[in-house]
Amino acid sequence: MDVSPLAPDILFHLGPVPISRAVVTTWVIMAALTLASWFGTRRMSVHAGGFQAVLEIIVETLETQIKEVIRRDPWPYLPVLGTLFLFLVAANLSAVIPGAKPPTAHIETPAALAVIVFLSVHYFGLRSLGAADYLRRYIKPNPMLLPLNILSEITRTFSLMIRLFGNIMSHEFVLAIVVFLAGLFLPIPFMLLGILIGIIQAYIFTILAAVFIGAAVSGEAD
Amino acid sequence: MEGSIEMLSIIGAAIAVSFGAIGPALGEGRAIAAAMDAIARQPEAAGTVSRTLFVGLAMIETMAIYCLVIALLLLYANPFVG
Amino acid sequence: MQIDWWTLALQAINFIILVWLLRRFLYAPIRDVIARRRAQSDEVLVKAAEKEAEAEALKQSLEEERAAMAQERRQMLKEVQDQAADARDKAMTKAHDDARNMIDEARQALVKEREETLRGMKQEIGALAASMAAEILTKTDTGALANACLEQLGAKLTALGEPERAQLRDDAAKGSTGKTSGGGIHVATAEPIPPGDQGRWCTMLSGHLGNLDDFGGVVFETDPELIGGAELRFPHTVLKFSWADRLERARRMLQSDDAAS
Repeated sequence: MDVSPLAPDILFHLGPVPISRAVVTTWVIMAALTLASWFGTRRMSVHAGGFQAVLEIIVETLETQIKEVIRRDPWPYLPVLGTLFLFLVAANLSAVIPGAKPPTAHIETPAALAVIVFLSVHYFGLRSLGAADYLRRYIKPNPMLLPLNILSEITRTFSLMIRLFGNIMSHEFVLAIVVFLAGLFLPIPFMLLGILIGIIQAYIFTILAAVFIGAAVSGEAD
Repeated sequence: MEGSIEMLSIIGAAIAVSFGAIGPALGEGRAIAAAMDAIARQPEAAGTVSRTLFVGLAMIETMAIYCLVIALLLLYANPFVG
Repeated sequence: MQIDWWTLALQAINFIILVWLLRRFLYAPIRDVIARRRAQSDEVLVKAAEKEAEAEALKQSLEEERAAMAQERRQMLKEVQDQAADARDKAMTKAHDDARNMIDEARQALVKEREETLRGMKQEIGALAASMAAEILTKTDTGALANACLEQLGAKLTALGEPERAQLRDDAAKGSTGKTSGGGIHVATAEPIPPGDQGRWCTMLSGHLGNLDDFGGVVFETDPELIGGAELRFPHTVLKFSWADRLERARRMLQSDDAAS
């Protein structure tokens, strides 16, 4: 219990760059996802069979969900949002594999994802509405609210980050305490709860990102 | 008063977690009661209700998690301790 | 709390690389295949629509053909019916004519037959009348006529059996008793019998019936209605040998013949 859950654990240094455990886990997840996609879509055919059908079902479900939130053609947003969801599910569930620690249990990965969401919201908003219309959105009800709008942009991104990080990290922390306190089988229900929490947090993160992007591209204040 | 900051930090962390748990606990109780009521009234909507309930519980729980993060910050990353 | 900025940057870059990789290997192919499938199904739909239109046209033409066939059939049927009606009309008229001819012939034959029958009957009646007239003429002599009656009466009385004769006797005797004038037996003739002949009558009757005085004698009457011949009248019985009676009997016979025929 001496190791702080907040401190990054650096595995090795690549030149001047410290490589943490989270980055290595992320690389493994990236490789796995890419290989699975490549394997599934290697021989694409109209008559889908087996693994391709599974991938198609996943992609189409994501598409439907995003479409329901954004209420427009989901294909431009699908790569970012879909990848967000797939990566988060994989990362949160990596705790199931013995010895692996979820990258999202350290503050850097949720922060990086929150930053990307923050940037992509503005990117999609600007591309959809144009600079003038998009910036006018911040003084929408009243120019007096400009500071509040900017503050809400920052806080909501921050809360997105903290929500994901806090949930996964606290779960890992609680699990470590339970393992430390009591034995062999007691942690199993907590692990099962961890699977549920991981999927729900991935879903919440993705849906909130989709809501932010949808609000930005439609020019409405959220 | 050597070590008083550490002691105060520990007390603060405990207060943060304990009081921070009260609000989300009440909120979750209300949410679950409402969801039960809804399922009892409309059993055919149980799937939608429970899915929405889980997401809402996760959102409410996030408040308690915030408190936990503050407590952990106080315990492990206290900026006022060496 | 320390944030490892290197890790943060690396994770952001990792995520962007992952987005690119998945877009390359997951989203683009699946989007392609979905589009392709949609295009294919559209194509199939278009083809199906074409086929449907084709089938519709075929159905249309078939229906037209069928309608034409039905028309033709109706026409043929009509022709056949007309022909049949013609033939039937002809046959009917012919049959009517034949029947009328036959009826006419039969009627003519009947008329002829009836005429022949009537002619035959007339001849027979004529012959009968002639024979009767001849018989009458041969017996028209009054005396001879009365004598013939007498003989016939005698023959008749002879033909009667003894019980009838006794009955007649009793009858005559009863008739005579209680009566002041007149006897039990009356002999009625159309012409008065001459007194000379009355004796012969009396002897004939007494020969058959016994003593005439037992019955109060014989009374001779004239009755022009008898035309000819005589009647032997007992109080309850009448023996008729008159022409009137014969004529009456002939008339009855004729009537019964008429009734029978």
